[in-house]
Amino acid sequence: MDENKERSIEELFEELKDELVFLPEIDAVRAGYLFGFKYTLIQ
Amino acid sequence: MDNLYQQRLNRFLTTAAHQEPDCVPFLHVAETWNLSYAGVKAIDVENDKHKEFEAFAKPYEVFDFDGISMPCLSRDVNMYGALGGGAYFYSSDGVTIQHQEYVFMKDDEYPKLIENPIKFAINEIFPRKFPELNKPYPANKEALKKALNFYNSYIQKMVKAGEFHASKQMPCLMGGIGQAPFDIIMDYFRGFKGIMTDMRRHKQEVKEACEALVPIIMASILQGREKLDAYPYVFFPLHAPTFLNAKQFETLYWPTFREILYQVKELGGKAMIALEGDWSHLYTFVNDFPEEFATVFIEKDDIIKAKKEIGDRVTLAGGIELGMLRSSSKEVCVDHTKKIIDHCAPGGGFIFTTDKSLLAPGDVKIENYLAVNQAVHKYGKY
Amino acid sequence: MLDLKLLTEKLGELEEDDVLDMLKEFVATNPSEAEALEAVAACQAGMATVGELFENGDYFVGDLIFAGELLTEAINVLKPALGGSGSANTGTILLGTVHGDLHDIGKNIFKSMSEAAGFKVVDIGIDVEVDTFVEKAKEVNPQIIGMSGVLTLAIDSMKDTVDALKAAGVSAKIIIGGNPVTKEASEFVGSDAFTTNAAEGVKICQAWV
Repeated sequence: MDENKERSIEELFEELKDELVFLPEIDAVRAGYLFGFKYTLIQ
Repeated sequence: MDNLYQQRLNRFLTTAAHQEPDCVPFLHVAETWNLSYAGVKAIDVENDKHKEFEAFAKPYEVFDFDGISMPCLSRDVNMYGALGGGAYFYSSDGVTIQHQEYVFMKDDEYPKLIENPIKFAINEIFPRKFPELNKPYPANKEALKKALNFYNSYIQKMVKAGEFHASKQMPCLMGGIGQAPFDIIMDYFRGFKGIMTDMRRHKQEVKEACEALVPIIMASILQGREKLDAYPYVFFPLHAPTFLNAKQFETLYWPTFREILYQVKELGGKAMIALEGDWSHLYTFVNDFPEEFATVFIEKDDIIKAKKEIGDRVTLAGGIELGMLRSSSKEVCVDHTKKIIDHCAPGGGFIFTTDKSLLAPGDVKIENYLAVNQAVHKYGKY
Repeated sequence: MLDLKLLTEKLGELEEDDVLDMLKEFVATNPSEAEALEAVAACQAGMATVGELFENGDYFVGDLIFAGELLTEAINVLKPALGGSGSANTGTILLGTVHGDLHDIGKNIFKSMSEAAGFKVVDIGIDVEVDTFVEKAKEVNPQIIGMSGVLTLAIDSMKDTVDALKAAGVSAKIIIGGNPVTKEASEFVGSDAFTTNAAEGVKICQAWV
């Protein structure tokens, strides 16, 4: 993605998902972990 | 070495099976009070988990608890702070953590919440709630990353805290958090006043929003697992029911909350449910909780009456008000404790604890709390 | 012609659409100020019904919140017809949430119910410093001071506030309200009365004036 382009908040979360290096590189696992983070931020 | 841990835990498991253990179990329900008891403040332990765990263990060096509810602080104020907002903050005394209600959703936005709750929260609520996310890229990402780092260490903390107390022979009963859909809408989207008017003006939409939240709440309880353990328990703090009449509860709150309880049961889990406020008008529904499933915290209801009316279906946890522990004499507290044990202990299904979580330093008079703790074990022998 | 009895009934039943329709129709007939005041009184009587139903256990706090909303809406509809005058003043209550506590829902319920009962309420907000309570008490000279709080630590603030009011020679009756309030707490604080029930609180205040 273009370095200077503005990201939607959803896109920011997607970028962070790729950086969860302490988790296995399995999309469902990383998405699941990120879900916990999103849910906590809703609170 | 696991003897004491197992002995304590067995008291809870036995009483929850409606059998009589060797004595009435005493559950210590406290958060920031533990810190003040240990002589530290919430802000002192921000960057020192070990200090936080030690503080939570300090009371049971003196008291004889069978279990504790929370192993450590349950909220991370800094995670929200990294995003420039959030509802949690430290009190001016530096000891306690408070919550302030903000309302970020308008009453005409239900269709978006119903369509996709998480998407709506992220795209529309987060920008209103967290100023840092409105900064240009990459500053907004950096803020989110900072919050994620706080979240990572919070998750690690939660895991380690349970292990820490277990190593000190102290069971910690709560293993996860669950919520009711209606409470989610109230607490995080529409606020108290908002939901109380919405349930009249937008009844159908409130219903549908509750339904849309069920899978999300289940996912948050499961945390990626496929099954749940019977112990430790999923903890449900329930906020709105004390403010609803039975009809409102039955039509708006209960259907989706019931669905969640039965799903948790189906997956092998059990629950500790805080019936916050007064639930005496809702016992019909408590008697419809899954069987052999729930321990309920009693706050304002008459627990002796509750024993008769819901005591066969659920295990009761309660017994004494913080106000009495704070202001009455030791004798009054102990006499009251004995009376409660006389009525509630027979047959099991009873845990002795306080009506509210101990938070502020002055919430109880130490000598009263200690006397009651001792009385439960001495007088509460089966 | 406005059916006052029906208006009272509909407000008591919290039938928002009916209440507002009746009042809009009524205002469209260009009523006199005296007639508009009668309508206000009918709404207030409806609020008294709400209070009774709450005390009987038929209504819950959620209903009280909505009732407060509905009364405010109703008065807003009537405002053009009311001119400058308000209703009779039973007495003055100085009301606030004590220092360290930011909660206002209980305070606001008590406020709308006291106003419906004819009290003038001076609401000084949330997180009110001890000194502010004392200053305002001297300025407003209320018959009653109401202190609200949800947190257990509010009990200490209530005590500090009551001590300061007494030291300053303020003689108003003091009532405390909120979740952590009990008989023991009231004795500790030194208040004249306590309640966790807004409708009961209003009755206590009515007995004082």
